[in-house]
Formats: sequence, C-alpha cells, structure tokens
Amino acid sequence: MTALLRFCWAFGLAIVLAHPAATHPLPASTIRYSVNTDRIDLTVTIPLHELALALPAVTAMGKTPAEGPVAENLTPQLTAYFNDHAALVAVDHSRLALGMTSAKIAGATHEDIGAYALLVVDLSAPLPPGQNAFPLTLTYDAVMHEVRNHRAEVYLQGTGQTPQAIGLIRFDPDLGAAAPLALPLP
Amino acid sequence: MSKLVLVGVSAVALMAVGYYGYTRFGGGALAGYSNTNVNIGAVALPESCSATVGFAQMLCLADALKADISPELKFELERAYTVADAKKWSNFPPVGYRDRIGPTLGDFTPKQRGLIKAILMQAASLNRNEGYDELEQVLNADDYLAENTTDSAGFSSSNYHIAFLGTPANLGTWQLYFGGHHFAMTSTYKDGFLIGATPSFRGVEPFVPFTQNGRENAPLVQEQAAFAAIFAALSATELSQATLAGTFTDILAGPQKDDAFPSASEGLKVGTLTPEKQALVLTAIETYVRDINPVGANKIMAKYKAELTDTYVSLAGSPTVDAENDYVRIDGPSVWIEFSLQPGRSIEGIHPHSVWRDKVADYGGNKE
Repeated sequence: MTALLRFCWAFGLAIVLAHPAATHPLPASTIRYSVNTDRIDLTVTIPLHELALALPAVTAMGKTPAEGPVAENLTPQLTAYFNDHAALVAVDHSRLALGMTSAKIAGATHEDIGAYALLVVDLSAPLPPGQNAFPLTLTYDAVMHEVRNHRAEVYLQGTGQTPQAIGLIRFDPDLGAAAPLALPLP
Repeated sequence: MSKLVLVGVSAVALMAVGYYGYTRFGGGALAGYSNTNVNIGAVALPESCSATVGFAQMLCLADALKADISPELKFELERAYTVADAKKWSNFPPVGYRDRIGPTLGDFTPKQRGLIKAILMQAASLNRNEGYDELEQVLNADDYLAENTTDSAGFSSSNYHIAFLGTPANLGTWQLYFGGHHFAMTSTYKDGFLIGATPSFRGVEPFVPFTQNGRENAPLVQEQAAFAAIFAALSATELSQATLAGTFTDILAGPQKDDAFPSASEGLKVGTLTPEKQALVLTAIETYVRDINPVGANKIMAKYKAELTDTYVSLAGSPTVDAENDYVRIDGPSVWIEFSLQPGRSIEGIHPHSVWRDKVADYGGNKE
C-alpha cells in the first residue's frame, strides 16, 4: 500500500469514526492491520492531544503541528514508546519483532471538537516463515496507560475490502491494564 | 454578573484551548432544526390540569398536549416503549448526534411549550439550581452559544427533543424522554411509580456564571462545589486513597457506553469515613438525585443512603475540582456518578460533562 493510500485510509477512518452514529464522546485511536505473505502491517492513528498526556515529548511539535512526517529528532522517542506499548505474540507464544516504520501528522475532524491533529504511525513485523502464527495476540496500551477513558478500535484491512471491525481495546481497571486482543487472519 | 464578553477575535482563536487546541466548524444554523431561542423560562404555564397534583397532573398535562397537536406531531411524540429508543441519548449537540427521537421544542406552539414545561416541572424538582431550574439554565447556555459563537453545531433551546416512550398512564411502562446538547432525562414509570431516573446527563458551556434570557445561570457549580467539599475534608491519607492512577479526559459511562462500569470499585470506601465526611458524599449525590421529583428522589436517596458504606469516592487531578481533566467518581452498589472537566469546545475555559447512572435501575431496570 502506498504512503498516499495509507494517509487517505487514516484520514477517511477518522471521519468515519466521527460520524454521529459513532459511540465516542471524544475521538478514539484506531489500529488497522493487514496481512501480507511475509509480514503484518499496522497503521495506528492517535489524537495528538490525547497522546500528549501520555507522552509529553510530543508537545515539542508545537501547538499546531504541520501535516507531514514527524521531525527526525522525535523518531527515536516514538520508536521506543511503541516498543513499550505495542506487541504482537504468535500462537506459539513467540514475540514478533514489531517496529515503527514511519510516523506523520495528519488532520482530522470530529463533530464535537472540530479540527484536530492525528499522529499516524506505521508498524510492521515479519511473520515466522513456514508456519501459521495466527491468531496473533495484540497487546496495546498506548495513551490508555495514562488516559484511562481512551479507547482504540481495531480493524482488519483485507485487500480491496472495507475495514472489518475486530474489537475494542480499553483500560480495564479490574486487570490494571488493557486486555490483549486476538487478531484473526483475513 | 454581567454577560460574558467575547472579544472580537477570530473564531479559531476563540476556540483554541489547551494543548493542540481544537477548532470548531464555522457557518450558520443547522438544517433540520428550528435553531431559535424559545426562552423556556419565559414560557407561560398552562391553567389546565391545575385541579390535579403530582403524577396525575403529569398525565393530565400529557393528555392535554397530545390533544392540542397534529396527528403527525403526536405520531412523533408518542411511540412504543423500547430500551433501544431509550438508549438514544447523548451529550452532543445535534450536529454530533442525529439519533435522538421525538420532536423538538421548536416544533410546538408557545401554548404547547407551556404544557411541556409543566410536564418537565412535574417530573423534576423545583429546587433552585437543580431539577427544572438546572434544565432551564442548560437550555439558556445553548442560547448563549447560539448568540455568541459562529458554531453550526445546532445550539439553541428550540433544538431539545421530547418524547413519550409508551403511553403516559397509570398502568404500564412509559418513559419521559427529554434531551439535547449537554442534557438527557430518562424518567421511567411503571404502574404510576418512578422506577428509574437514569441515565441522567448534565453538562454546560459556559461553565462560569453567565447571563442569558434575562437571568443569571450557573447550573452545575453546585455539583462542583459539593465534590470539592468532600476532598477538602479528607485527610492526606484519605485523599491519597481516593486518588486514581492516570488521567481522565472524559467520563467512562457516557452515551452508548452502558457497559462501562468496572466490576470492582476504585478509590476510598465511604464506610471508612467519619459521619460528617459521609454526609458530604451524600450531599454530592443529592445534587443529582434531587434533580427529580421529591417523591422519586426520596426513595432513591433512601437506597443510596443504605448503600453508602459500600460506596467509593475517587478523583483524578486536583482536589479542588476546578481544572481541565479534573475528574470525580462516586461508585456504589447502585449509584454511579462521574464529573469531568474538559476543555471549552466553543469558548475559552473549561466545561463539565457529568452523568448519574444507576447500575440496577438505568432505563428502569428494563433490558428491552
């Protein structure tokens, strides 16, 4: 998928989630994953004003960050942040090498709060060769490790298909953490 | 206090709040709504039904309203009772949530709005800054936003919906549905008795006292003050026990989040507090429960008082409950109250979102 298509997906999904029928008083994060022959790709969108509460380093981007790639000096901190707050485990309990491949700022709108900035992050991990690693287990708590009302909606993106809702990740006070989510194959 | 002065800066600058400030949509009035100031406080009350009192008077007023409107409007106003429809409430202004049911105040004549006002006054308490008076002030806030911002979100007192889910009667189940921006009333009755007054949502912007429709308005500062009084009375140890980890930028159990209650309560157990401090928690709960008619409120308060020792109070942010992202929760076997201070959406400052729920009696305890 090209960078342009990824951007369009992220922006389009933000609009979809901001539809009046959506269930979110405030914008949520979204995670869309797609599976290729040898890897799994995740595109994560996070409202920047919510991320700023969990990762104050992003405030260095300023109050009105321009759309486009994130400044290079922030990349190591974002890489480390997603290393700490996103993980994929195969069905045999082996951890996949999930890493950030790009990060950019995009604009979005929401009926209640209007225009806001999104951080759009691409993550990717190679799949174990010669075996079925699915269902993968996604452990994810970006933002919600600090902002307890924050939620992330997870979608499966099949080739040429509308994203399919897989589940919702949110902080569970009974667990003291966000519950992992199983990611099925397309 | 004099009317808030909105300085002559651009709408974008007006709405820049906090970090990564939001910018609202500009534009004119929202299509499909009257978008007018009906100034419900000035609407004359009807003389009809004055021979009856209490629940009987509410039924009389409902019948009088139905008799005075067109068949088409009656069809929109009164519909079959379903929990699915009862769940169609929201904090959003009309542009953010289009699934509300029933006609809006703008669809009625002034005479008919008088009947509606009387119905709402019968369902609510008549305490100052609570109940009906709180409702009137929240609607005034929308008129304030309509007159003082360029938002096209659908602000206006005319844009609040009313519906009867089921037929108002002495027998059977029905619900008085009233809601719009920052307001949701869901009073459910069965065989002539109130069986549920929740979910009940309140919010307001501007939060600071403001003048609109010929009166001063500050509908939710009493709730804020009641919470701050609790935390001011706690010892350092108690305050530490009450403090939740993390940040809350919104309530958990908002609209369409009926499954948001955690199974285990968090915070400070009220039963460990002195009677004086327990009374402060009850006072805070009363700022919600006493929004409804005293007959129903007394019954609900008796239940919450009996459960008080097993109720928890908690906060995130500052104990003075006066800053962005300050958050308060009261969580009991039945009662669930949340209060969240959020950035201004249309004008500078903070504004509260708050919900009162009952884990047992939301939607009257009905599931469908």
